[in-house]
Amino acid sequence: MEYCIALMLASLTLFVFRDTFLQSITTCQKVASDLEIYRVERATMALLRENIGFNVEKVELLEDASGEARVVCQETAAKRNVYYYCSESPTGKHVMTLYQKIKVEDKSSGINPLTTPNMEVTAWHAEKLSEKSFLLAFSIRECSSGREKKFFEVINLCNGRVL
Amino acid sequence: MQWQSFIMRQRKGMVSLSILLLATVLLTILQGFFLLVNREREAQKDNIRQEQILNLGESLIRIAVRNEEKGNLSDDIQLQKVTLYPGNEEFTAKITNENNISLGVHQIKIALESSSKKWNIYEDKLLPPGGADNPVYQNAIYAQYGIAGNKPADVIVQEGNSGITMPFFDVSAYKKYGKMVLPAADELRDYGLKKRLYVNTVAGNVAYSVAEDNVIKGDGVFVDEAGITINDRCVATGNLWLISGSGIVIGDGVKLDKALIIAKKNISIGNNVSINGIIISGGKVTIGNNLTMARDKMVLEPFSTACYFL
Repeated sequence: MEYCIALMLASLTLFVFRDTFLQSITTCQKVASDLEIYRVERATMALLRENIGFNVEKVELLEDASGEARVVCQETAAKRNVYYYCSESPTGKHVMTLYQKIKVEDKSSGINPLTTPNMEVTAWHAEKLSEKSFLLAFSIRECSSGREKKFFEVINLCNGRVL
Repeated sequence: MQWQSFIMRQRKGMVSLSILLLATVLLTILQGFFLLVNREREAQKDNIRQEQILNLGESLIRIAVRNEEKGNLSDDIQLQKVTLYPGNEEFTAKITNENNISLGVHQIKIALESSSKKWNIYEDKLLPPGGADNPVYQNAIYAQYGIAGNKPADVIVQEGNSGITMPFFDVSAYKKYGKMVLPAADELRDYGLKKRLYVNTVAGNVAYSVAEDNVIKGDGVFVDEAGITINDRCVATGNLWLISGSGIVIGDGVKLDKALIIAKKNISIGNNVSINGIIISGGKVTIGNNLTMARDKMVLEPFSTACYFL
């Protein structure tokens, strides 16, 4: 008897507040997606900011054939060139991923993805602000939830200049 | 039967217990979620702080270097406390301008300090020991105790009996400024030089040696109290300073495009060597066959290291 009453009460509560309940679950999912997006942005930009800020002598902002920005960095370590660019990930999911390509002189290059496969980087754009700084604008979209955030980052160069 | 009636008695509060358990589970999930959000908030705050510190440090060092170039920078500047948000954290910023005249090292340091964290950003400027105006640098090759072997034609070569003396410099004093150890073979191969001052900190009297056939790319200053050897067929394409508290050995077929070579003791140069720059020895200089030498006064320009933080 007690069980029946308890179950009935629980069902009734869930039925009455079903919209609120479903909404809170959706909100939690959205918050989790947003947190994931911010986490990816933090990790990527912390790396870029420190690398470009202190280890780079020259930055060239180029565009590839599809109009996507390519940030080409000549490091203070004279034998290394680092490229930051967006390209479709080879997983076959048609997700644009941000990559870091390191080319050491007389060696083949190494390419590492900077964003996870469930995150798509779109509208990747680089613009020179001054000889010592440039702007990176991009969006990160979480593929499963479709949540998207826009980011603008100003990267300052301590040891180099923007061509 | 006694134990069955005991269980039945105990089950009287099962419903309230179940609800309590359900509530606990729900609250735990909720708390876990809030903990996750809170952790992310902290990480975001740290990220913002890191960005603020980098921006502050970069701006300060840029201004300090600009003012120093104009001769407009005091030795110590204590800036006003800055409060950074979020977190309401107070930072002190101090610019130190240290000038070691005898060594020819000029260091600008930006110290940013809060109650829990500390960042130091540096930039060093090096002058040739004794200063670029020292008469010893008017020569392409100077040897305090004479030159042996085939002197190259068309360059000014002077020996100690000319009345000019070798400038005094304390090689061990460079250790204070050298935050990087001399590069290993794979570092030279994969990175090249990073526009930094490299000082040998290896215990004992072990001379630094660059392996044969190495291409040294980039700018850098090598300092070693125990001596420096550039082995056969090495090529340096950037601005390279070699400062030794002992001797320096340059192997056969070495090509140095822009080099300032200073040793307190003997310098030995192999066969078929090509050097653009200046060679100064506090001992003897021994030259092999076919030395191609050109005095390049550009090597006397102050060497500014890349800006670095610790």
